[in-house]
Amino acid sequence: MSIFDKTKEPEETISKPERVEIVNNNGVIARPFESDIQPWLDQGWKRVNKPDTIEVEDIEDVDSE
Amino acid sequence: MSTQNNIGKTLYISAALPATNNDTGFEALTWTKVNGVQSLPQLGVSGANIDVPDLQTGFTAGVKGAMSGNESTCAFRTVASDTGQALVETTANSPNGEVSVKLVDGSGTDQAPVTGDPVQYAQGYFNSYLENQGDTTTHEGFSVSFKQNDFTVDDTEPA
Repeated sequence: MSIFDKTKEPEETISKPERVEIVNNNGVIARPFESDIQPWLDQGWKRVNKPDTIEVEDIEDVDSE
Repeated sequence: MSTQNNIGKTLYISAALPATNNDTGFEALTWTKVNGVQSLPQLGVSGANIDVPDLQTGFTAGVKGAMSGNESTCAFRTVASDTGQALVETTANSPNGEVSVKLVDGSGTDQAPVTGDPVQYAQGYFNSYLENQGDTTTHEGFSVSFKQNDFTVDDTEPA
């Protein structure tokens, strides 16, 4: 590759661990890493559903009507 | 490095306990700054001693007993409409008072923590919310007690 070639080498991507939002019974929010979430769930914290997430159960079953 | 004073340190709290008493556990919590701090909680644990007397030797030796988190008093001057101070009062007056504290030695604007700044975490409960007694020598403020319930976690502010 020439030094004048503007084609970029593919950059090495480093994926950061993803945080997930959880809430306890008092409404306190925490954001642990997905890999660390189990101890939180074991202590009663619950995942926060994002507003734009559509649950499968919410989709109307047209065929059944 | 020479010994530094504590001026500029700030206090953040979260009205919840971490799932694990380590850096990842505390870093997952959401924190609220408490303004008007005059004295921070004194972090640490103290240990009991168990006496082991011996009649033949006439000597009572000691063995290490159980450890317990320190209980200390935090003092604040009143800052009107401060969210952090309201959370301190609410937590201290709640049935269980569960709280996590974060002591920050921040280098950002208004001593805000930036990546790499030293921080300390501890979990326990707030209790004994007491307003300063009003007289000619006092100012408006309050104090709460903090009972630590696990070891202190030393960390740096994450990215």
